[in-house]
Amino acid sequence: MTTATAEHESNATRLTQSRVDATTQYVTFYIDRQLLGIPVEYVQEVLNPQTVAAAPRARQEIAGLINLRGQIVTAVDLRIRLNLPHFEGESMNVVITDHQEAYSLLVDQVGDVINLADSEVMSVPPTLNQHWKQITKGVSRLEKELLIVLNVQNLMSF
Amino acid sequence: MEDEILRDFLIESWDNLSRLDVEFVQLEKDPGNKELLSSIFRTIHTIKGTCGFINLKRLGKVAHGAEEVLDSLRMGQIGLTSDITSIIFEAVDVIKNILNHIEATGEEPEGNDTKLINKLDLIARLAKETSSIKGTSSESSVSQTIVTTVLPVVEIVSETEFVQTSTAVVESVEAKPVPMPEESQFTESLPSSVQNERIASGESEGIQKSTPDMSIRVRVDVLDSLMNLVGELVLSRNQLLQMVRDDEESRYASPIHHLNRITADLQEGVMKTRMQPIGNAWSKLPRLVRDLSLTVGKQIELEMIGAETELDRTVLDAIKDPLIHIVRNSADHGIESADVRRVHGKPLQGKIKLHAYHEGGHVIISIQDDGAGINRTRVLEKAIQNGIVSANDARRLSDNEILSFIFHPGFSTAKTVSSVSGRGVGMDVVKTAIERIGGTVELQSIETKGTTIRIKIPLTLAIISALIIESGGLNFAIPQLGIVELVRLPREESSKLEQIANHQVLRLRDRLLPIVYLTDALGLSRPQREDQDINIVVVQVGDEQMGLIVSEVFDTEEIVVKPVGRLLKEITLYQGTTILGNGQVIMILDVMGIASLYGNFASSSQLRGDFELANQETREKTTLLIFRIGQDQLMAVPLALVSRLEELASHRVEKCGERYVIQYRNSLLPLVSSYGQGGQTPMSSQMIIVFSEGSRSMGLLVDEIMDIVEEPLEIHVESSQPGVMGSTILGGKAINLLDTYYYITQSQPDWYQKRTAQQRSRILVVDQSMFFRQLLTTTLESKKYAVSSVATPSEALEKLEHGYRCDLIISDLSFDSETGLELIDALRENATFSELPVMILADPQNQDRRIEVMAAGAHSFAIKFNARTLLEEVSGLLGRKVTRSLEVSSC
Repeated sequence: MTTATAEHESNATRLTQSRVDATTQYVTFYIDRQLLGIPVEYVQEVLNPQTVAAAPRARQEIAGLINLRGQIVTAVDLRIRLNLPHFEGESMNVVITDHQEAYSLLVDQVGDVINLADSEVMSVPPTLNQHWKQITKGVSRLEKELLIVLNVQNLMSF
Repeated sequence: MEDEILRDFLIESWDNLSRLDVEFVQLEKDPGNKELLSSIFRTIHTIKGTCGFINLKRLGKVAHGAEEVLDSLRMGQIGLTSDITSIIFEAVDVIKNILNHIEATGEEPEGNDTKLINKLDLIARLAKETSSIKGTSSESSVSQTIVTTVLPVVEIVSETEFVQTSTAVVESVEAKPVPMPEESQFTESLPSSVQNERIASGESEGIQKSTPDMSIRVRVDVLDSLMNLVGELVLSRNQLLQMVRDDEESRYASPIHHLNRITADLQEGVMKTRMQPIGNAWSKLPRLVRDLSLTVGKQIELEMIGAETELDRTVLDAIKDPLIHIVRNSADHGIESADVRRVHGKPLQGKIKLHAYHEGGHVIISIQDDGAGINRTRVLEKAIQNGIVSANDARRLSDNEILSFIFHPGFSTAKTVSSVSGRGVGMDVVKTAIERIGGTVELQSIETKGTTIRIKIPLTLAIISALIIESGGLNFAIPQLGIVELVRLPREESSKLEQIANHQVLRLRDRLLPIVYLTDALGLSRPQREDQDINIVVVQVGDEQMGLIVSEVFDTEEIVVKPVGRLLKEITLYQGTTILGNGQVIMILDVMGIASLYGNFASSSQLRGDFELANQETREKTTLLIFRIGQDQLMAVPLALVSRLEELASHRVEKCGERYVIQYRNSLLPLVSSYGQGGQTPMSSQMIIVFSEGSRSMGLLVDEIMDIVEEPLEIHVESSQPGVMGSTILGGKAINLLDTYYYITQSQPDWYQKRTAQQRSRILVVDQSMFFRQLLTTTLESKKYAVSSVATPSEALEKLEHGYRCDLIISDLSFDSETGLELIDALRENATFSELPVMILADPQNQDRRIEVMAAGAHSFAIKFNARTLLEEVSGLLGRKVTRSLEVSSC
């Protein structure tokens, strides 16, 4: 886990060195037809739909717990976290590491891993509501759609 | 690279320092012990040496100062006094602080230790000077003494060389700042001589008994991950065992059973690597007792037996603080001063004995002192004073029940708050900490002989045996340690389970067991299957038992406890998570956490006692209005607090902003419902209980007015549920008492704030009944008076003598052994309080004693209990004051 992160870091460093403009890789996914992304260094792996064990009395953002090869991982329903309606289909898991603890973000659908120059990520429009402003870092205009880059630190602090 | 050196340095330093405290206290008892001195010297010396190497200047200076003093001690230039010990301890504390800071940040903290270093230097210099005066006559004889006494077999090292080295040290003290290269030279030279000494002496009498070759240092996280892997293995094994359980013929059965055995052995082996001697948790105690005995001026000896008893490091961590607390308590409150001990014919030196040993799968730790023991009368007084028990109930309590109050939250019998203990947090925290790891605490105390506390804790927490149950369609694990028994109630006997208001109880043999639906605790929907047998898991919560109703009881399994994630930590219902043999993730329930949802569980022992209560007639009666909320919840409120009852058509309830109101007598009446803020499903008509105060009113929506009863009233179980003051028993049924204050502030948050401008008058309420004290307090506080309450006239007088001041006393007339008239007499005789107004609030049967009471000097006489008249009377008595403040404000 830690080695994987370290690898990603060194990858990122190499990329930084090879170009003048620093770039970051993002793992992207869809939630309620919106494309969202988080920097690849946070992502441990992406999993197919998993059995989520309920944790009664947990806050509503927490969907439950997932058995990830013997590791128990807290599953966060990203839709609820983003104040969106509950997803009716089977959610995919984007497993991330934050402060040495693994979490699984439940998303509708997983997209590509894309490379973006840091200059391509602009700040979010000021008209966005406060909650979203808090948990997003920026927005990037891709060819077909907009990618919203999430602020993982803020996203996970609740 | 440097990080690694730093980490190793920290680990080693911590190791050595923890030993140092113990060694120093031993040394004080045995000042001539050169082995101990050398070992202490080595510890500090190593720290200093390494500091030079990794450039930790501040730490280096302090260590150097301490080393110098130790060196003088070692050289026999000065003798060890407790002053010197204290200064060295001070230095050790500074070293520890700096190490802590380095550990956290990787940097040395800013700071100045000049004062400490000067002190150390002074001692060292004085020592050197005195010895050099002695030494001028024959310099070689001094070094001779050093050689013969300190290093008896050091002939291998040439004498002159050694003397040179030590003079180099003396020089380096004078030449400041300390030149680093010279030091590292020294660093190299001494350990070799020490080592030589060891090899030469050829015996291992030293402190470090372990042979270095036989043990290696392993990082804790390596062990933890190993433990995790074994956990996984245990789970896979469980899964395999489950697969072959039904099929003994399977060709896999034999290898799987073999695997089972190996796994069990491996599990045990890995557990052993995590085991640490309990002595590690005790290492702080000798110093603690020493420091404490100096501050409080007592002589205390600490004896520790079984320090080598091993237990899992997680358990060890969990009991460290509780142990310190208990020992501190024993030293501070338990052991008497030498004078007192002399009077009792005890040895002047008190003794605290720690004893640890294995028993079954548990570790037993007993902490025994030969001090004063626990004074039951004082415990009881305090318990009554703190409202833990009523004076009436107190008479029926057994000795053990009285002692158990020690563990009640917020209880402390220390008359004075000392710097070390007696702050009112204490044994309850100890008890909770120990119970949280599945342990138990017992307390025995004989007055004047001493107190023994016995702690029983499990060996390990990592793998536990747990019962798997189902509730609300989900599986959960309940640790076997907390389970007392399983009760299966056949459906035809389901009447044994009484459902009164919100409190379920079960008649189980000779007692009443509080029952909780696990689904309720977990916020799951209760299964609607009336025709089923009822499964009850009886669990131990402290001294009490509680029954959890579950849908299904499965097997007992060995489970691996995994900590709950950060986002779930705030939920007290779980003590961990685990993965079952089938790969399913389930939550491990924390029965303590579940019990805490249902208020203060310790007091339910009173519930048991009160069912046998015979002398109900002797207690005051209160008129109560009983009403129903929802399907089956009964609640009561003292009628005196109710202004009116109204029945109104429900369509008249209107929503106004976030609030519900009703047009009522030409004004808007704010409504609250006890199901939560706001309105309810409309019915054709709606019952409303109206509470009023002056021109302001509020209405509480209820479903049905049931009855008005006159009953003796006592709050048995205090409640943590908002809106409920507690529970009482009426006609054999548990009924919740409404907390009017809560609903009033909910309907009009500013209700009580309106009067803040008014000067707050202080009122002291004296009444034996806890209920009345609360009722009066609530009523008076609603008028913004500052209210204190005590149970008896003598407590009231004591409170006044201790500097409490009030503008009015409201007292009951009759008490168990005193009367309100005696209180008046006592006040009138005291110059300070002779003018203090007293209002006597008597029971209705004493109505005809008005003249007698007024003649005794009371300012007012009223009968329990009409809120409005009381408040009018009170404001009348305090009138002058109020008028004065009004005049001021109108200017």
